[in-house]
Amino acid sequence: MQNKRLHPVRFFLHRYFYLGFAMLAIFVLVLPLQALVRLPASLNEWNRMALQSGGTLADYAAEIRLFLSCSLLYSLLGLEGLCVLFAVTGFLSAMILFRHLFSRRKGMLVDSLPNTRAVDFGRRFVCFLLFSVLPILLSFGAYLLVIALNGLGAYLLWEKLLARMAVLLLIHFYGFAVGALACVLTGYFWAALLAGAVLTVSFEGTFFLWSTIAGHYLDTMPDSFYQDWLSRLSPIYGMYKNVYQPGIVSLLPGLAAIFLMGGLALLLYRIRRLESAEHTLAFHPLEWIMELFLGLVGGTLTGALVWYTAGTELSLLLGLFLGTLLVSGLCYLVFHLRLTGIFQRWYLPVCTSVVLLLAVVCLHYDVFGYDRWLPSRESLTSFTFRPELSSASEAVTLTSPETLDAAYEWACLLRDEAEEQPDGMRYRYSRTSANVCITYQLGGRKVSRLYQNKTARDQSAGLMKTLLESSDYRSQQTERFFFRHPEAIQSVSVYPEMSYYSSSSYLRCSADTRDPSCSFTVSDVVSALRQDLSARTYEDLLNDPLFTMLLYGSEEDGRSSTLSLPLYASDKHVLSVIFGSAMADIVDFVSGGYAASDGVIAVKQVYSVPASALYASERPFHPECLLDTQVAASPEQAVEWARQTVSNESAYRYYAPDFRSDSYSVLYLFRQDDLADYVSSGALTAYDPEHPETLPEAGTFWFQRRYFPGE
Amino acid sequence: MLKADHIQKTFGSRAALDDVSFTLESGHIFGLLGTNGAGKSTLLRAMAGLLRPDQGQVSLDGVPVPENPACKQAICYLSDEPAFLMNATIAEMSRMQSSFYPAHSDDKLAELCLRFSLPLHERIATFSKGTQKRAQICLGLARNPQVLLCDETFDGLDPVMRDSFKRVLSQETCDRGLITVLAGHNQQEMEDICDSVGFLHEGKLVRCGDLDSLLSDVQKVQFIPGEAVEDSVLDSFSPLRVQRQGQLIVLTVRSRRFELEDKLRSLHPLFLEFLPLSLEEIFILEMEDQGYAK
Amino acid sequence: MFLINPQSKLPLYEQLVEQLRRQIVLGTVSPDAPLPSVRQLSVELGVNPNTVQKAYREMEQEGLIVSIPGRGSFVTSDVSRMQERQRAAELSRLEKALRQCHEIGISRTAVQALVNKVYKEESSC
Repeated sequence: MQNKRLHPVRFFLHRYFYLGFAMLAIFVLVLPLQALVRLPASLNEWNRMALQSGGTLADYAAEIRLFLSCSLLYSLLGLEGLCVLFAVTGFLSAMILFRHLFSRRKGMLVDSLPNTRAVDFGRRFVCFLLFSVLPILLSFGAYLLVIALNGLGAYLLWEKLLARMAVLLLIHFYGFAVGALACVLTGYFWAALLAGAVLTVSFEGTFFLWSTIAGHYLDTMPDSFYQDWLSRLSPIYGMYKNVYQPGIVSLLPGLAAIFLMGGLALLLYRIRRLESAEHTLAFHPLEWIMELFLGLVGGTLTGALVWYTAGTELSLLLGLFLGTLLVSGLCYLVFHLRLTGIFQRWYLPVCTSVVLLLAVVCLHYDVFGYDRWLPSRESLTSFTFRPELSSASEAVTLTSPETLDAAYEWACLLRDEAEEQPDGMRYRYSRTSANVCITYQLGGRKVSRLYQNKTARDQSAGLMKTLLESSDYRSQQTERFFFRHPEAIQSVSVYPEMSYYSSSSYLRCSADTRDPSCSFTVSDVVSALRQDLSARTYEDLLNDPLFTMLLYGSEEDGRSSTLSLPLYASDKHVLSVIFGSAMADIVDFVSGGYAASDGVIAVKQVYSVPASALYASERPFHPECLLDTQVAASPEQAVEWARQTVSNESAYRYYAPDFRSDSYSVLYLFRQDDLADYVSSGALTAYDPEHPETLPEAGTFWFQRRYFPGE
Repeated sequence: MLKADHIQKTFGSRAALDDVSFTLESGHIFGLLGTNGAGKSTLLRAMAGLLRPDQGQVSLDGVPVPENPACKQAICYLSDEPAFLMNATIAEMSRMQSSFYPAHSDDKLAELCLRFSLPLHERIATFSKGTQKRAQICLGLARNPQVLLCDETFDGLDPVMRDSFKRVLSQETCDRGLITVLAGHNQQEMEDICDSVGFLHEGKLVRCGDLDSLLSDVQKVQFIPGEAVEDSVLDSFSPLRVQRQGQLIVLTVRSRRFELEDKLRSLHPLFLEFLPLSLEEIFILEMEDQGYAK
Repeated sequence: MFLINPQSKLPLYEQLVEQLRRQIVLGTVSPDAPLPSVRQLSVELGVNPNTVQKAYREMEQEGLIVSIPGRGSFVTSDVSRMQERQRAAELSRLEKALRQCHEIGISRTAVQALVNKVYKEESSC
């Protein structure tokens, strides 16, 4: 036997070498090996396409870049899978390096070594770096090597790729920190796993449940509430989002969590007693802390489950109360592994359930005035609003003082409407595009609220006019990416908004730049659009749009996207660019002229109930409320009627008063050919062609329904 | 010198160690006897720095032991349940020790393994319990510690190995001034090898001191008195135990021999003989005196 | 040189002292003979070195051995004096026994007969 003297760290390295080997195998399998397998095939494909189209590989540069720094990374496990792998391997490393904490004998062996606990912890951390982090770095390096060997090194987006790899490594550190803390806090392997799960998901999970519950009490809570706070505070969510959208700010919670947990693990490791091994919890005071905390979490979970099933407020309260009792009991069982004395600390679950019930009470009566809240006019620096059902890109930010005045007045109306809603739990009203999500910017702080805008819209016509005709609003419309960079637009297409059409008339009213017969270019359209958008008035917008324009192109980050814009009758410039001399004709047709087409029957019915009642019920026809039925005497009358009406879609525009409470007449259009088909197929019965006024009652098929506002 | 100063350790509601104090000089072998659950293992672990006492302090040459690497190097604790690295052989354990303990000597380990007939390259997990204990002893001694704390180490060894162990201990004590603490139940063996003993009962150190003086402090005498003697007379001796077998009276008294002999002569005994007391008997007597399992 | 009797009533160190005393008197150990070192003896016998140390101190106090620093311990050269002292100790013990006999009423003749018996046996073998 040699009399060789090993340094303690080197001994540790000998001992844990197998860990490094396993880690290297895992990560090589997931990253460089995937690249090795998939890259050549993809490269061949690109080369083939380049050859076919007569170009070079560089034509596909954007695609290749995206592939190398995104899809190839996620190819085996997907983005989420990759995050989970890095986190779990970090956690497992910690479990392996600290498993002596679960065995009394092993713990004694380690404890009798002549070093301080802090030094021991440090050595294990060094092992982690060498056997877990280093293999990851090597795998990343191998991955880059494979790419370079395939000759695609020039297509790498270095910052993006390195940022991604750095975040994945951070997730790995996070897993380790959670694992180390879980091992130090507990004395059994399974308890450490549970502790890890609790540390990872309990905060976000409980917050999710409570924001869902709160959503049923607070009328003005935006749907994005949970996500906003999650991205601000959740370490896991921040890191996860960072993997596909690198950025330092969202990493801060993650970094803070890693340092906090790691530091706590070291601190507690130093004072952990030897006799804690083979106890569920290693620190005695932790028992009641955990019982309280888990009581809150478990109580919330049970309460939410019961409430989800039964749906009433009482069920929520009951569920919360029973849940805390149940979870407290479970905790006791798990910590002490026996049933005797389970009611010893009865005050803990009582405390927890009181807290939870108080939370419900606060929500019920909106004790903190969430719904009532409105900033002062002076503190408002900018005002962003967006119709709730549209995409975020339709948000408009107003900053000039005059516009802000009008906006503030509007907000007051909205807030007053919200305040009038009764307290208590209710089902959420169904979402409509009348709902508006407003974000108030106050200095450095942002606050968002969601308003129903049911009655407020009837009172805010004047304010809306100011807002929608403001330079703020108009410039936002014309400063969109596609407008600033028309070269990024690949195609423009236009479709008419009318449900009555034959294929020929439909085609006549459409256009597409990809069509070889197209008479206009993208740049023509864009400059015309700019003009029209800057000149639109509130009254123009009150009408139904006649056309929808789709702009398809690639955004700043290389992804392709489609922008959808409504076109109104007042957008003369762009319509003349698109349709040229036929513009007047086409606009005529689309705005109502279709009612004069052959074989169209126009029937006007007057009811005793307003359109809102008609729409709210499920049946389209209400013979019991019918006052009068008229058939259009001539095609001109039909067109006149058609032009007087608005579609039900108008009802949901957030900036328009709701016409449905003062609209009592409905226009129905039928096509005779369609009717013949329905009769022959047996879907339509009792139709008397001599008496078209019987049509609406005769069958469930209606063709087009439009309302006469004010009539 | 290893010193324990008013050590107090409580587990839950039970006091495992209750105000235990003693001093061990180098070159001495100390026997720690105790009833079951008296706290022997707890005391040894506290001395090794593995347990932190609630009150009081253990110090080696004046330096407090807990969390002190230098002290931990000098103290070797042989647990009653030997623990080794997973799947390790003695050679591998030796490698571990040589990295952590500068005083470790591979040659010494080789010599000890030869003496205790232990294979160097077989997995310790495959050994029998007794053989594992032997391995534990060899590895511990190979570290050249200043203090050796043996928790029931004797009890697992066969007589031949026990003998070897005793010889090794004597050697170490002479050569290096090793302080040894032997905790266990085997009073017979302790008598040979220990020079001082302590009795531990319910966490309290009941009696502690030099072995010989302990033995000479209690006398067992059997005698036949000249005339009949009443119990009250016997009680004046404050005996630990009185037995009568017909005319023969057996007295166990805490006293020096000469004093007792003089006192008994006053009864004009027809027959007087002092019986030797083993450590075991003294231990039982002390425990009974404490009220343990009478 | 020494043996331990585990059954003996005497404490270990007393046994060692007693054994040396006997060996000197019987002449089985020669004067100035070296004694094994404390270490050697404790290892050989498997006993506590302090016990051996105590025994050696006792022996030195009684004059049975002489310790020379740096050289070890040796049996006293003055064996005859030892023997003399032993004789004196035995005679005093005999005297004590005789007084006891006298106390309980054993006659002089019986004692003399016993003396003759023992010494006659002695001379005949």
